[in-house]
Amino acid sequence: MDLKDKSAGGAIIAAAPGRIDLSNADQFQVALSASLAKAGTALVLDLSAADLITSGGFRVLVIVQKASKAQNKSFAITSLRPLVKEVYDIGGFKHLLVVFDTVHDAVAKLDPDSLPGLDAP
Amino acid sequence: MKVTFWGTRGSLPTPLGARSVRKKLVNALVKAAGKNLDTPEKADAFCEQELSFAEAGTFGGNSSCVQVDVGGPDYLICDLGSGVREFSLAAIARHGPKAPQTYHILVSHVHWDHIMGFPFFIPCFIPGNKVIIYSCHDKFEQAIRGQNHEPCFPVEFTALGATIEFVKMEIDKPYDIAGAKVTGTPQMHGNDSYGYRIEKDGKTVVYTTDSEHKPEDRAEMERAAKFFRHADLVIFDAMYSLADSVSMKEDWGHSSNVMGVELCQMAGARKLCLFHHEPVYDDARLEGVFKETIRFEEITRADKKLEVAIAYDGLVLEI
Repeated sequence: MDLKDKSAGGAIIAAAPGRIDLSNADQFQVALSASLAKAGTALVLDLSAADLITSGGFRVLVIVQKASKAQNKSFAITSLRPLVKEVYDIGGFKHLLVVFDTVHDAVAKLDPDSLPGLDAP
Repeated sequence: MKVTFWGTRGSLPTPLGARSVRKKLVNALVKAAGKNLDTPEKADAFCEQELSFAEAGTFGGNSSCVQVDVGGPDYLICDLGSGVREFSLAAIARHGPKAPQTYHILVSHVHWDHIMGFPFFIPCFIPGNKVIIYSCHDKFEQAIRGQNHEPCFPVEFTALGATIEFVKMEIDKPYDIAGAKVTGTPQMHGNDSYGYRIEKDGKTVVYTTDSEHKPEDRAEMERAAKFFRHADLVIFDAMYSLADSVSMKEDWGHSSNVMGVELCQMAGARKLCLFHHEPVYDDARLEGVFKETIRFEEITRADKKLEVAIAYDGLVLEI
């Protein structure tokens, strides 16, 4: 699975696929863990293209959140579409997963030094 | 088949309490302000039409006990939580204490909340009654006998008047119990737990509580879905939120409403009933979980609609 990683200073911006469920959660975990390994300071997962995330996908997000803490890095998800936001709320993830409205907001909060890299053409 | 829920709370009985009753009363009185409710009928209609279930009632606090009426003369019960006392009072009120009955009881496992009602299961005290207790669990007879023993309970098991038998079931082997076909399956839970598939006249009820399902274990998910296959009703351990079940409460042996929907969708089941409620959830929170589960089913529905219910002490479902 290709998460189309982009570097911005020490941060990595990854883009989630359209649907993450039990059928592709394993590949998603491998890919997102690789993105985290590449990040120097923070991993930001852009969910703007994700139509739906079910239990398998949210479990991966929690695992990567824990791994990021263990590696002294930050992790956040951004740009949740309405259905994904509903499942996030229903699943009770507000105390586990940090959400920002945009990738820019996430990088500005988690690693402001990387903002110039994000804004660069 | 008809399914009656006598105890629906997980882990331990959870009485409503005076403060919670007062809160409901205050809320109802405020909402009733200015209305003419000068007869019991008008007040009852107000409760029915203008208050939510959580405002006008309660999900209840007895621990697990579910009656499955399969149409024969004998009783079939799942688990011996504190709700079995309510069941036994109703059964005796129906028949009188002197009419011998046969009670078939399936035990999921022997954690205390699932067997604690047995010392108060009144039919056991009455000579002439027959009580047959079934389980796939290795230690169910030891655990149930051990409860009726000093210093924890003053009536010894050997002093009970009814004829009581224990039948150790093999997993995946169908048994004829109370006229229904009953099959047991192992579940992921500390100290072991078993689910039961009950089939009669083309209808199927699956009783699956105290069972953890891990999203990463695809093979186990598919095995569970096969056990639930095309069930008319799946009574499901939905104790935790999905977030809790994959984080701090992982490996605690319980599942979530979200996982219940996904498994029932995989299985092509007709109805999911949320069960084994978290003791720290009050009625408003449980009502919220119910609404959220209905919405999650809508969001994730492929073609066939999965009906969603939530168990409460006293709920009756016709299958």
